[in-house]
Amino acid sequence: MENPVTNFEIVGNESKALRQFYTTVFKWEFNEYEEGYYWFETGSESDNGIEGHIYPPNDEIPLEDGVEFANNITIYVTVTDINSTMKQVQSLGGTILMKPVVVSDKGQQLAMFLDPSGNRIGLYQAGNDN
Amino acid sequence: MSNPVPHFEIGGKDIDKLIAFYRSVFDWKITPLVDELYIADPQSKIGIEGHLFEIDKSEDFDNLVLIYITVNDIFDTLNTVENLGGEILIQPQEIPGNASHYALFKDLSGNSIGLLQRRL
Repeated sequence: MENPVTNFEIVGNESKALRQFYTTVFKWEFNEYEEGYYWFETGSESDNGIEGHIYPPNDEIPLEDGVEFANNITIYVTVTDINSTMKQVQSLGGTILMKPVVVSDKGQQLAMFLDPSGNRIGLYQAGNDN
Repeated sequence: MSNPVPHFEIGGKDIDKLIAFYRSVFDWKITPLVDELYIADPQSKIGIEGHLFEIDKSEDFDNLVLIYITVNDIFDTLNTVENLGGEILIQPQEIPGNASHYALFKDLSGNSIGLLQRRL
């Protein structure tokens, strides 16, 4: 079973300014899918870049009570069974930041945890059509 | 010219615990590279590979996740970063391997981001 790192996110208050910064420095092409929310690809298949998102901090992220983002970069690992991975994370001393949430009508799910050193890591489970 | 994100790093002060955690949770192949640095290979056709690294006990931070962006000219990129209000954290350092140099900067929101220069 493979669990690749396929995504990253950068969170910042001034997401428009951040988007401008990354566009200018790295010539990444952005799609704005909601005001202040951006999606972009960083490379072709041949140079093996992953895709990313830039967005502002917001109240809609269903974080567990009493937890905060430790920093603003998150990498996402694709897993086949997000609930079973989260159970394992907990049994190995990780902390749940966000329990699995369904983010599309195709059943894609996201979750977040802190590893034993306090690094924030995201999990992604593909939906029905993948 | 694209500037892809081909690499990540995850750091912690207790490196043995960190290695055991990522091996158990994700079944990644984790092997020593040099002192305090380990290759974390998810062994997948998609996605990227990374490093786990040990943060020195004397540092005042306990954890760090970094993504690295490959560029053609690292000095040129850092000039642009500074012109736009970013801050250089580590000037370009020579490294062995597929990339010739790495550097670190802080973006406008204070995120630490790594750069890798392609080996020509």
